[in-house]
Amino acid sequence: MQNRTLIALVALALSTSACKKKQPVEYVQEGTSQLTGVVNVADPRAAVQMLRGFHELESNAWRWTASKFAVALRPPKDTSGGVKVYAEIVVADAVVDKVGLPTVTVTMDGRALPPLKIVKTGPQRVEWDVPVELLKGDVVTAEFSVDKFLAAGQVEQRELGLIVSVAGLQSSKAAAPAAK
Amino acid sequence: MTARWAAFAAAAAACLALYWPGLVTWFSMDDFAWLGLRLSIFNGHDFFSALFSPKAQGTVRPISERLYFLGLEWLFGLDPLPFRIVAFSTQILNLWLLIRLAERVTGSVAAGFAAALLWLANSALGQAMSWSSAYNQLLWPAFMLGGLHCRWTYLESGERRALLREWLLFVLGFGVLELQVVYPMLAGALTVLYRKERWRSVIPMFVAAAVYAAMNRGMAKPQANPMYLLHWDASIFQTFAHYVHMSMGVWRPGGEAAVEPWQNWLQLAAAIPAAAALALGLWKRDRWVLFGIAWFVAALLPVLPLRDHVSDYYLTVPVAGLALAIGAVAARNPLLAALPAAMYLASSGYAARIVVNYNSDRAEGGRILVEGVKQASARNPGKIILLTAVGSDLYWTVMNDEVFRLIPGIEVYLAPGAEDNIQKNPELGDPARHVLAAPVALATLKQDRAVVYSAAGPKLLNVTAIWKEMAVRRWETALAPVVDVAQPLLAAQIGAGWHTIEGTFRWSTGSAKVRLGGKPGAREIHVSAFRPIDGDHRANVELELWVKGRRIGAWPATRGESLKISAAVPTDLDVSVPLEVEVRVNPPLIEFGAGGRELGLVFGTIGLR
Repeated sequence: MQNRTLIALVALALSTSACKKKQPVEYVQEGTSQLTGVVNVADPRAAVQMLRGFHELESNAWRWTASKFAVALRPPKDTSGGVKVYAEIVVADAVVDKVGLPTVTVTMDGRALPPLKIVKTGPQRVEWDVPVELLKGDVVTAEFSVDKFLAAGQVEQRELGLIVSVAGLQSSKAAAPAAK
Repeated sequence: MTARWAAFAAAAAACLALYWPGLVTWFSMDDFAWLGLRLSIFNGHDFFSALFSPKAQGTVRPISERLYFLGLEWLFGLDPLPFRIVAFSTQILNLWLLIRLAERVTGSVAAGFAAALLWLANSALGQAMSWSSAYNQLLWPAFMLGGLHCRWTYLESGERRALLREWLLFVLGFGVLELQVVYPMLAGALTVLYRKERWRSVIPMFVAAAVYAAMNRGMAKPQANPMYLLHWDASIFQTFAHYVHMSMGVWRPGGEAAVEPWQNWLQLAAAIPAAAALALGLWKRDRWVLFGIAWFVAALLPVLPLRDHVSDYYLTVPVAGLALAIGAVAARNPLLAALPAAMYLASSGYAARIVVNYNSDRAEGGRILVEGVKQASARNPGKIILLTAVGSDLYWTVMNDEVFRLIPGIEVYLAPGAEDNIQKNPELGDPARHVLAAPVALATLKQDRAVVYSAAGPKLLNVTAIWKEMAVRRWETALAPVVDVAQPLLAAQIGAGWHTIEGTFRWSTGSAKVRLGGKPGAREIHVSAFRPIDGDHRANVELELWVKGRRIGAWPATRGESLKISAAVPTDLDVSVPLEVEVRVNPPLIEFGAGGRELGLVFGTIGLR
């Protein structure tokens, strides 16, 4: 009797493990995602907000961009203290050595903000004040561009502008504590 | 006997140890085109055409490509394992044939074993060991080595049946790879070096190879891809020098940045003794070394005019010749050869594994995309799947080769705008052809007939809600620059002069209009139409194309024939804004019977490109 129980238990354990092995691999993830005000280029949920000009994700953290790249952003609800559009970028020596330091411009829904001259290479944050009247809709498109870049074929097949990890909108109220 | 089997077992084990990720690598790029071959077969004629009609660059490889893919796909579907098992088995057969040939000719199992290891570790084999479309590079040496075994039997014994077997393998080899034309040079080299008096037996093979080469060139279409243009000039020598350099398994033109410094040092340290071994062999007039060098040069000859397409893929078979030559010298001087051989095996073997891992990882991305789309389709039956955030690599290695036509019952497109993050590659194709027109995408989403998935992460991510929100804003008022007049979702762009949709087409009247969305940079207006045979007794029918009230041109419409019109856009026409296009059919046809309709032609798509 005990042997039978033992055999039954072993059979049950084996069949359970066999069943586990047959679990299909999930290749799809459902769930809800929402438009955000900040696009982390490594976040697959935000990838849909990278409208154009982004190359492949590298080191699971950043992407090279072309000379122009655009993101769709959700404006913050509270714009009373002013809003900044910003990007966390790396100005690569490999680019600057060949073409010089670039000037970055941003166009928000077609309206250009003042150009920003980059003065050093390496990681940095670039930001602009955004007129609040541009932030009245549910989505705003920020198109960044650089005047100096590596053309496709100059070093590699891709056109290379900046290295970007994050681009987004930030209300100045939210940014204030961080500035301290 | 024991030594021979031990050498073979060790070589086979080394093959599996070095290349095992290639055994489970998924499909990529050209694989999907070959896997789709079955879809074009409906009868015996189609089957014959699928096997023998020339494909890209005029290649006809019925055995190594057509039968390989048709047969295994028919038996196992989209499962890569059988393909890879066949590829690995073929390579293991090659190792056996190589070891045995060296042993039979030189009397040394060690020479064969050394050759097998040196060949195996060359990074040029990385592609063939991890990509099913490169199977021809593994099957071809099996036919070559098999033929050389037959030739050696003939040279040793004078047995005529051996010559017949060689001929059989020689002729079948043309069905594996057109480079088989160089086989007579190898057979000739072996004959001249070892049994000079039997040289006449090779002459008919040269004749057959010349006839085949002429036929093959005759079948080849004019080369559209500049990469495959043949350059018959001094660049041949530079190309040859590149291949010699690459044969050490590390250096690749333009690929210097991907090489570890230690690999370069090991390569250099191994290259000097390798060159010395070859020089020593030549100086001593070692026939086997001469044969190995002849193999290397002969197998490379046909690809040397490809100045702009230097590829390690083309080295897969030639390096076997160098391996035979250097392996024989190394086997005679094992103590001297051990260290350089180890350095070569480490540096080139490492590079080979990098290639295999790269191909394997890249193909895995494709597997996730395809399996993900299958699951997404199962969860959303009957709905269109729109893909966004498809990276350049994923697009060019998977989607560009029409992978989704291999899965019945699903409809997959790139979401509008997804093509903007895909690197342009005009010689390979245009991602725009996979994009569902924005107005159609938006309409299907609003009707809950489509779902959107992002391919940016390790799994497909449902982003329908977020994408729809953005799409409404971006494309609510957009017009499609290409209109399928039979697409109900584009009815808003259909103007006056059209009859109702009939299946996949729509009849025009004598004059019909469509409104096209603007497409900056467009150079052509294209129109697809058809003039049926039944009931159409008009004599000469002409189709006129008018854009914004300007006549662009006129084309005759023949009964029973399709019209594919591509008309240049006038340079002063602004194509970045919506355009009204009118098609006029002269004369129109009045349908028989009371209240017969006025009919022009049957139309498909009208658009800008």
